[in-house]
Amino acid sequence: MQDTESVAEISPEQERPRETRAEKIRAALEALLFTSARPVSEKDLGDVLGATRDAVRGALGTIGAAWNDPIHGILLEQVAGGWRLTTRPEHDALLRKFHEVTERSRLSLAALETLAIIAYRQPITLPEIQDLRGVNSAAVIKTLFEKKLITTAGRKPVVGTPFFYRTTNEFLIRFGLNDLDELPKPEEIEEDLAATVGDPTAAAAPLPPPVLSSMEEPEDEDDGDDEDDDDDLDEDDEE
Amino acid sequence: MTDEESPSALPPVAIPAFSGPLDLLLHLIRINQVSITDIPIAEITEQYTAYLDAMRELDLDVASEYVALAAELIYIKSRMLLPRPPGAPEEDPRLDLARRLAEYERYKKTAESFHEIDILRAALWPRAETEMPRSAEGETLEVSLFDLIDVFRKASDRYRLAHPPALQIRHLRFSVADKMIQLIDRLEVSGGELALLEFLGQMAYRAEAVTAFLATLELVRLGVVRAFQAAAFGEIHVRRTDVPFAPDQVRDTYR
Repeated sequence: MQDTESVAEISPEQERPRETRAEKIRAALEALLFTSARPVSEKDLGDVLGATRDAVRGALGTIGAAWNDPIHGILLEQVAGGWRLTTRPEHDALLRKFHEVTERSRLSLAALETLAIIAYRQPITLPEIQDLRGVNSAAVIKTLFEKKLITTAGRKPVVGTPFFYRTTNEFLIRFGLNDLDELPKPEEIEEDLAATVGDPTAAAAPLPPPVLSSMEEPEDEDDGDDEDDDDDLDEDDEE
Repeated sequence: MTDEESPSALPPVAIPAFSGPLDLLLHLIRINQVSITDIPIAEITEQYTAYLDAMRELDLDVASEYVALAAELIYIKSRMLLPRPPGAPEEDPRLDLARRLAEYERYKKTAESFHEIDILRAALWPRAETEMPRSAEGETLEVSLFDLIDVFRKASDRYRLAHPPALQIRHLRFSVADKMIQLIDRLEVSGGELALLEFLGQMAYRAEAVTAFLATLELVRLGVVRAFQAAAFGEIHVRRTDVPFAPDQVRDTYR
C-alpha cells in the first residue's frame, strides 16, 4: 500500500480497480456479519459472495486479526460451525447499564449436570439420564428444552418409547463450541479431577479465554515492543 | 434442595445444594478424603443417613431417591458382612456403585466447567436479533416442539377471532308475569274461555311452556281464572272470572 500512496494524482475511476478482490470480499463479509445475529457458516458466506471457501477463510482471518484487539469493541468468533460478531467481554458492565439488563438467567447445577450428560451421551433418553444422575430429571429436561439447549431426536424403540434428547446449536453457541468434537475429552476432565481437590467455589476464576476466534497464529512477527506489551498484558490477566 | 443455613441441631457442615443423592455421596467421600473405589461403607452410610436426618429436621423434602441410595448403601454393607456363598466369584459389592460414582463425578465436573464458561460467555453480547424483511422461502431454522405448539396456539387464536361461532346460543328467559298477561290477553281475544292445551301448545320452548303453566296455576290461585273440565279426563279449559286483573301490579310482583 505505502508505495502507491506517493503516486497521489489518481482519478477516482482509476482508484477503483486497485481495490483488490480480497478487499472486496473482506468488506462484504463485514457487512454480512454485521447484519447476522446467528453464526454464519463459511459455506453460506462463500455461496452468497461467489467466493471460494479459502478466500472466505482468508478474509475472515484478516478481519479477526484486525479486530482481535482491545482497541476495538467487537470481536469475531467462530462458534457453532459459523462466524459471528460479539462485543468484547470487557464492555459487559457498560452494556448492562446502557441496555438496563439486570441478570441473565443462570442454569442450575442440576440443569448443567443434565446438559453435560446429554452433551456426552447423546442421543439419550430421560430414564437413562435419571439412571446416571440418580435423581428425577423431568423438570430439568423441561427447563433445558425451553431454553432451546436441547431438543428431541426421535424415540427409542423400547417399552414406553421415550424421547431421545440431543443438544442444539443454541447449546454450542452458549458454551462457545464450534462443534461437539470440541467438548473436552473425558481424559481431560479426568486430569482436571485429579488436579483440583474438588473446590467448586473456584468457579469465578478466569478460564482460558473461551473458544473465541482462533486468529492469532499468523501473527508471529518478532516485532519488538508490541510483542512485549502483549506479553505483559497476558501475564496480568493470568495473575 | 436448598442452601439455607441451619439455626441449630445440625452437623457442623452447612448443607450445600446437592443436585441428587450421588452428589451428596460424593461430597461425603470428598470431605472424608477417601477413594471412590474404596469407600468405607459403614462410616459413609452413617454420615449419609445423618445428613438425611438433618435435612428432615430442616423440613426439607427428602426425595425418595435419597432414601433409595441409603437403602443401597445398607445393602452393600450387609453384603460385605455376610460370608460369600461357596464358589461364588469374589467381587467387591461396592464395584457397581463406584463405577456409577466415577461416571457421575465426570459429568458433575463437566457441569462445573460449563458453569464457568457460561459466566464468561455471558459477557459477550451478540448482535441483537432483528427482524429482516424476507421472503417466505429460504431461511431454515431449527424448530422445536415448543415452537410448533406456539405456532398452533397463535393460529387457533387467530382462527377464533376471524371465525366467531356460527351458532350463538342465548339463554332464554321467560317470566311468569309475562305469561300471566299473555293468558289474560288470549282469554279476552277468545271470548273468556280457552283450552289450556291450546295455550300451552303455543309455546316454542320447553322452559316457556313450563313458565306458562306456572302462570296459569298462579292465576287460578288468585282466582282471576278458573280451570275446569267438561267431563272426567276431558280437556281442561280456563275461563276468566270477575276478579280484577292489573297487569302493572303483576309485573311488580312476579319477575
